[in-house]
Amino acid sequence: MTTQPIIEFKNLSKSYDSEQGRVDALLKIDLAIYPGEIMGVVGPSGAGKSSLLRCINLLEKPTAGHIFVNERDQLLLSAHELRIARHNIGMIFQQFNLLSTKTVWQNIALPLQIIQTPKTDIKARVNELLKLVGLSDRAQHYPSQLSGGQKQRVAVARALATRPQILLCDEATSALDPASTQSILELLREINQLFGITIVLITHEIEVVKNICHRVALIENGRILQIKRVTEFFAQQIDPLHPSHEAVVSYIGGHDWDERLLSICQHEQITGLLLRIRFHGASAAKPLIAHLVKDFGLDVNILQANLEFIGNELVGTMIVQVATHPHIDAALAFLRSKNVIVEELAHVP
Amino acid sequence: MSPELWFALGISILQTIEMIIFSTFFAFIIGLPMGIGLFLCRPGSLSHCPWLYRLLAFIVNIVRSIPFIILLVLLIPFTRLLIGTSIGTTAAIVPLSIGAAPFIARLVDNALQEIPFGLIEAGISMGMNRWQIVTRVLLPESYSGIVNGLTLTVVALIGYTAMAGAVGGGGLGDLAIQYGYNMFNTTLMLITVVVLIVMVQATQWIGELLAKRRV
Ligand SMILES: Nc1ncnc2c1ncn2[C@@H]1O[C@H](COP(=O)(O)OP(=O)(O)OP(=O)(O)O)[C@@H](O)[C@H]1O
Ligand SMILES: [Mg+2]
Repeated sequence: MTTQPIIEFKNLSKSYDSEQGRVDALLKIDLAIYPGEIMGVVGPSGAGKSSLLRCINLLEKPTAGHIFVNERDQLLLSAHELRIARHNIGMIFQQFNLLSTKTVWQNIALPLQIIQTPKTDIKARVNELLKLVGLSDRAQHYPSQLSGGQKQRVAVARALATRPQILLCDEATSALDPASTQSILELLREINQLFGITIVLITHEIEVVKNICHRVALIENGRILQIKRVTEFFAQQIDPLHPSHEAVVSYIGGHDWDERLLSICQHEQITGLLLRIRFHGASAAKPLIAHLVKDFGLDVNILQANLEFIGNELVGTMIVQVATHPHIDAALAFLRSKNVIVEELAHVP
Repeated sequence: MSPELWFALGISILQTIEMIIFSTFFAFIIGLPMGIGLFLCRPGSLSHCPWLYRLLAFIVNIVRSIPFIILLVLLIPFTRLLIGTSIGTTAAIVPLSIGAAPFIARLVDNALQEIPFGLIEAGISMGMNRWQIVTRVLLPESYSGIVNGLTLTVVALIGYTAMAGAVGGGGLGDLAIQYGYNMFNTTLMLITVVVLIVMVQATQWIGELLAKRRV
């Protein structure tokens, strides 16, 4: 990309000192996030996701390295400048963190009040935000009178009140049921498209990533293992020899299926090669299997197939069985030349 | 019960109420900032200022560990210095305030610790400064906790005023000892007890009412 990153980690490390000793939560992170992106951050518990996110608005102070927002080194800002910078970075949390003693209206007005916005402007802005998140009729309710999804909507409205360029979401949908999760994701997508707001989003739910993220960063033990466009992330060739392959597999689909398929194949006396085929984008629509059958004369048996939209692209996964045939190698080379990812799962004799 | 005694009872009630109102007021003025200070300076909290925390905690613990009756006597020179006399209702307000302030400091600190830290983080991420976090997050969110604690303090103070009365502070305690105990006036003694019970009930009632209010 040619544009300047809106958020940039440079060689950033974060460690915590506790009685149990030193914990390195982030190790030499380099990461650039561009304006208008929705960046997903995934990884196992304790990987350092929250630490990464909280270094952006300096809720946690990095131990070493730099964090740039709009090309300004956040660590060089004075306390006053940092507070102003934070008005440009909204944040929502798993536990919503709304003030229980304030109404929905007052909660959303709060960020505007602390920057001394004139009363009439606050009123207009809060009403506008209430409409955006669809809670105009709940303005005078207290948070305890709302559902989880509604609370998170209020939190989104509050985070957007000062028209920030960046929105940080730390497991914002983890406490919600599937329907509320869906509606919050719709809302995030909408504000991303409407205002071009950059969103950095931590999640445990792989569906969330598939649903709205443009890119994914996979982190483990304080290190970034991968940063990929979301379609490429889900349709990647897994290299079993790569040290990170287990972490990747746990997100894009494991090998546990293969074992069961294998035993079924043995039982049903289906022999030959078991392949997993992943394809995305342009190749998805093309009749790949027909090619294999017609042009190479292979005997192809589809054991499992799945098509889904990830981002705005179609991504397909298939597990097929191919009977032994002299043209197999040529056929696989053909598939790979079409940007299709082919993994040989097993050979059933 | 002679008319004079009824009159003395009325005066004593007013004196007790005066002592309670003023000492609660002053104790709150002193105790609230101390409690906020304790909360903010605690290691790992917002301001992280361990020496100030230890100093505040030290003062609070010292004053709280002195029995009130001893504090009353200890503070006589200070009271005299402050208002010129150590006898009378006004003079009793000094030790009552000083005795109750650390109590309030602790209860404010406790009430603040009940607030989920996420709310403070939300405030920080909004760009609030420390003062805004105290006034816009901490105090509103701990309001009912603090009011409940204050109710307890006032109830305790009602008891303390009786003690203060014993050393010349006036009020119901004074009356009960002078007439009820020294002159064996059982009726007066009983009336005093009833008045005290009513006061405690009223305090509890007002406290609960205030705690329920939205701020
Ligand atoms: N305040 C702290 N003090 C000490 N250690 C901490 C602190 N915060 C986080 N850690 C440690 O740093 C590491 C990374 O924590 P972090 O919260 O960033 O992980 P995470 O990826 O967000 O995990 P989760 O998915 O469970 O939220 C963990 O080992 C954690 O124990
Ligand atoms: Mg986390």
